[in-house]
Order: sequence, then structure tokens, then C-alpha cells
Amino acid sequence: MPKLFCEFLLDKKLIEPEQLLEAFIEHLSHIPSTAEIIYSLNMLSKNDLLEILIHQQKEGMDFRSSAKSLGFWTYNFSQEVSKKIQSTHKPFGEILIQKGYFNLDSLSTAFAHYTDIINTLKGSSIKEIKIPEAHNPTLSNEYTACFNNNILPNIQKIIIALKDENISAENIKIETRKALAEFVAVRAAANFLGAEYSQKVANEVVKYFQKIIDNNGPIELQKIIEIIDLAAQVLIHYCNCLKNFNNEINLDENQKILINKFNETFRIKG
Amino acid sequence: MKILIVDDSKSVHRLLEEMLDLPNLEFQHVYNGLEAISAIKETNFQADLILLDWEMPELSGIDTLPIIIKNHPNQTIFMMTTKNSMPEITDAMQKGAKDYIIKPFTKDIIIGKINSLLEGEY
Repeated sequence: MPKLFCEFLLDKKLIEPEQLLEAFIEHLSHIPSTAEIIYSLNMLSKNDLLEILIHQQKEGMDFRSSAKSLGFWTYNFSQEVSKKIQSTHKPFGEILIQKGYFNLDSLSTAFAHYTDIINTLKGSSIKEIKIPEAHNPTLSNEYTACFNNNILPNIQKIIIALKDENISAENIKIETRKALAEFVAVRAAANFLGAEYSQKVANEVVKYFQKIIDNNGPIELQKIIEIIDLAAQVLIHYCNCLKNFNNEINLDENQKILINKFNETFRIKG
Repeated sequence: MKILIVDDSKSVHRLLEEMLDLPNLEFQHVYNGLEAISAIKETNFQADLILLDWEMPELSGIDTLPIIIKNHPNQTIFMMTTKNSMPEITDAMQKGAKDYIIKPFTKDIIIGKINSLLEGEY
């Protein structure tokens, strides 16, 4: 049987047993008694409720047994009371946060990990990711705005700086790093949207520039400018396609030729 | 591989260690941006990856990021955030982060990112 979330927290030492106990006690203190629930929600007449309570006192039994022995506690009634109790009690997670054992971030991360384990136990495999034929329109707009108004002007500034005849070797490196950061940003934004082709283009450029920076060898300035320019053009086409059709598929022949050129440059198949 | 975890929540540190229970991973823990900067400056722990929380007391992750990158431009940093917004995420990438992890994250996601890093994807 899968473990409860509180058992998981204990197992992973994310909470001390004393803290969990305190949270439980606090949780229990927020659960109203059955009689209180029935009274506040008028589930029985006042006379019937009084009869149950007097019987309970006389016989020294708990409320439910008293109600049962007087014939009030039917299956449906029991279900109804349980439902009401569930809806009125304070969530356990809220208590853990209020007591300062977790914050919202850490508790939700712990819960995500817990569900991850539970799903693994249930034997559910990782779901196949489907490429959407159309993207979320709001995110598409966000992406195109972000790319056109923020990233593209920066890329253009970098190209201008790199084309400066007097650029020093040090500044070439600085501008290459800036270009890398811009393409990382495109990759992240495209990933966020689920724009697979733009993400792939940005990723190729990121890997290329990262390799140049890591190798710390001589930099072929002209090659760098060509790569940035070519990748920017391809990304502009994909971006326009997203803007007009909300997908990355509706490209014309000229755009496809340019994309093929990019793919050949990076030896991308398909 | 050495990982510096920067997050003000201790349970996130524990969870990350738990999720990343892989051989050859070594962790260092700090709890805000200032501690991260001094850890990088003063200790011998040269992190291959910094997992940097966005919102923290003293010095937030998004303010810590450019400071680290300025001094260590090759440092690989992944932002951990609940900020599920494209402009904010791209802003972090432009400041030098290599990737982002949206909280709450699952084991699959974090392992996937680490594997990509090990395979030279970044």
C-alpha cells in the first residue's frame, strides 16, 4: 500500500516526528465534533439532537453510538456528516506552513516528489510528449513580443558590435558571450511555449558558442557573425509563422531554403 | 560533479539531495545569495552547477545571478523558480542562467536537466 504524504515527509526526514505530532494535534483541534456539525448545519431537529446527547450522557457512550442506538445514524447520514467534516476542517498542509515547518515552495516541491514516487509505484510510465499543432495563443504572443522587442534588438546590437573593424579580441569574446546568453534566452522562451523548431535552432547555436568559449582558442569572427545572422533569420521566420499561424509549420519555399541552409551548417537531419 | 544548492528552504535542499541520489554527485548547501557569493569566493568548492533559487532573503537569486556571472562567466547556473512567466525567465537567461526549473519540480525533470548537462547540452 502506498505511503501517506506525512509518512513520506518522515521517511525523507523533511519533518521531525515531534513536529508532525504537533501538526496532527493542531489539525485535530480544528475538526469540529460530530454534534457541533449536526447542530450548526441543522441536520437534525434540536429535539432529536438533545435526545441523542441525553442518551449519550446516560449510557456513557460516544455520540455516534448513541445516535445509532436511537436509530438516527443511518449510512447516508453518516456519509453526509463525514462530507461536512471534510469540508470544514483546516487543510493539513496549511498547518505545516503556519507552524513554519515548510513554506509554500518547499511543501509543493515535496508533494511533487511524493506524487512522482506514487505514480512510479502505480507503474505509470513517462507520458509521451506530443508536439502541438497549435500553441497556446497567449504564450505565442508573449514569445513573439519577447523575441521581437527584446531578444532580436540585442542580437542586432551584437552583430553591429562584432562588425566593428576595430573590435579587440577581448571584445569579440564579450560579444560572443552576450550572443550565447541571448540564444539561451530564446531556447528557454521557445521551450516555455513548446516551440520545438525554434528551440532546436537556439540549442544548436548555444552548443556551438559554448564550445567556442570552452575551448578558449582563436575565434573566427566572420564565422560567428554568419552563424548569428543565419540563426536570427531562421528564428525570425519561425517567429513570424507563430505570429501568423500559431505554429512553426506554415513556411513558404524561400523560408524552407534558409532553414535547410541552417540545418546543413549544423548538420541537422530532417 | 559538484552542485551548489542555493535556497532558503532547508527542505528543498533535502529533497534535491534525495532526488539526485546519483553516484559522483557532491553537494554544498547555502541559504541565500550572499552566502552563495562568499562560498564561491572563499571555499575550494568549484561548482559544476549552481541551483539558484529566485526568491530568497538577504540577496535574491535573480540579483545574485549577474554578480556570479560577472566574476565567473562560464559558471553553469539553473534558476529555480515559481515564476511561471516567459519574460521573467528570458530575463534570467539573458543575465547568464543556462536553464530554469519551475517549482514544484519532479525527480524526472531535475534528473533530465542534470543528464542534459552531463551530456554537454549546455
